[in-house]
Amino acid sequence: MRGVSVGYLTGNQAVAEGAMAAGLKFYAGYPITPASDLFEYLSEKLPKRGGIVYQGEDEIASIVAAIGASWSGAKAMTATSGPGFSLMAESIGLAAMTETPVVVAVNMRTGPSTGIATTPGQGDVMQSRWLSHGHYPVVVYAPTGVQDSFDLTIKAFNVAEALRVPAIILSDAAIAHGREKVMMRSDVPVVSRKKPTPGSKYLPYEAGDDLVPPMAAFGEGFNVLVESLQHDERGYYVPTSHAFEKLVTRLNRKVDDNRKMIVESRVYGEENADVLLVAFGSYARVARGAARRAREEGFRVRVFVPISIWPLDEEGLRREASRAGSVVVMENNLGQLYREVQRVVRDRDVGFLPLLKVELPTPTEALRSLRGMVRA
Amino acid sequence: MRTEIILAGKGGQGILLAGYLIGYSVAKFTNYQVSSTEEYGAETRGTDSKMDIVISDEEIDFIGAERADVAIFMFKDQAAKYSRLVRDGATVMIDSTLVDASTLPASWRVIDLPFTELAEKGLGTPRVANMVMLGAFTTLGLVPLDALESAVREVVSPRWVDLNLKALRLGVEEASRKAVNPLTR
Repeated sequence: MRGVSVGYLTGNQAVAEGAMAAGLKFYAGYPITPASDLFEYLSEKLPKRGGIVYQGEDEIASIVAAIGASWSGAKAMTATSGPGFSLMAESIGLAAMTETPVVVAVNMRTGPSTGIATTPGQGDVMQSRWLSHGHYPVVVYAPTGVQDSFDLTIKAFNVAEALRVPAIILSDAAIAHGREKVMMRSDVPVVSRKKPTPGSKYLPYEAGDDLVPPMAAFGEGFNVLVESLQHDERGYYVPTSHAFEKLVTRLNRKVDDNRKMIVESRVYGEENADVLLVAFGSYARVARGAARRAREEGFRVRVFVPISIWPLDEEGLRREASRAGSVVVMENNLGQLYREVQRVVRDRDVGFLPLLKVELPTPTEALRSLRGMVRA
Repeated sequence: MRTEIILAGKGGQGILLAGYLIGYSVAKFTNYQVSSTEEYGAETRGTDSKMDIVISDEEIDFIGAERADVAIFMFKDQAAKYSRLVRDGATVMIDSTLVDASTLPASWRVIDLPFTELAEKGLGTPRVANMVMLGAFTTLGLVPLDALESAVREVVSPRWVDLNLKALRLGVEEASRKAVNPLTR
């Protein structure tokens, strides 16, 4: 195929390739398993493509450098895992408040705390949404494999740029270090932030109907104020209810009003199934394997895979949930995506199948547990 | 159709390179899909080294092997450890220099070739036993020999390419000579 290069890459390498395809110009990071090899890969590749790779003294410095680079006009990214992501808490809010497009790749490992560095986890679903304080917008995508790692990184950059929000790629050690065939198109759609018209009167936080203010970079001749305090359209500190309500509402409506651009989900398996099994990330692959095994037993499992985790494809989820005999959420934690599915699917009971593992469960294992809780 | 492969041995035998070459060949030179996962110890020598490879003509669901159709065991400890992940009737290749075929489940269709000995005697170094194995592996029809040869040229350091290609061909010859018949065991 023309314009398509075929790779046999790890998830980390595919995220790096996706980022470069989306126009990455600045990467900052601090080594942490299982994200270090993404850093290493970009250290070799990005400078050759005119970009900069910078190692901060820690994760805080790294994400803040990425935010600064974004304000200089560069598409910017960092990558980390659990403990490093926790350190980025304040700065995710900083990016959201200052409306800075920035992409953060988070490879979940076994937690809490330093946990197990090398094994996959799914314990950071809620953290990816509510890491920072205040009510702020963030968009989170969960790749299920290496192809997704490439495609969704591009999408994360595009959404971050279009809406001026932080976007997170929530992957895990199994995907980050697994290898798969990946098709990389060279003509991917690339979105870049909207800029103010040269010579126009510019207020850095004044948005039109689309709720997204144009973003001038430093040195382009506009007054640029990067303000993390509660601010008005000029970027001046205004500690009033009116300014607070106006700003926080607009920041969050940017995501709510653009759900169509953001949300993505997939379904696998036959309709009118005995069970709708909801699973994300690497567990989506386990769930799909379990559905294959179930078919051999005459047990019908349909798999719903949220690709955007925050926000979820609520409409798709409700529609699928209404058609299946029962609904079960399977994840590697004690109930995080489960809570969100329960919030969305309110007219029926949602079952929960926690499979707490340090390696991927096999489809047979998952199916056995599923059959233990569902009669069909 | 989905084919699950397990490739295992001990660290230092070139298991991960061999597995990478299989995956690379399939991804780059065939229309098939391929996924793989690796397990290895932090040590460079001696501990378990295992790769699961899934090859399919359709989108791959689960990325690991749980009932392998094909297994390759390069050392006895891993043959014992991972046999539970290999299905009845599977085709299993072993390095008979280091794995005793009589210890394996009777339901397997075993192809035993002394890869290490062949490499040592034929090419002067046991280090290319993994490539001799890969040559033999191509006779199973899952990965074409020319695809693997191209992969070796693209992946392996230039100074070792010729030796590795020779080892591949030695594996093809030895496997072709060997009758694949469970009754000969």
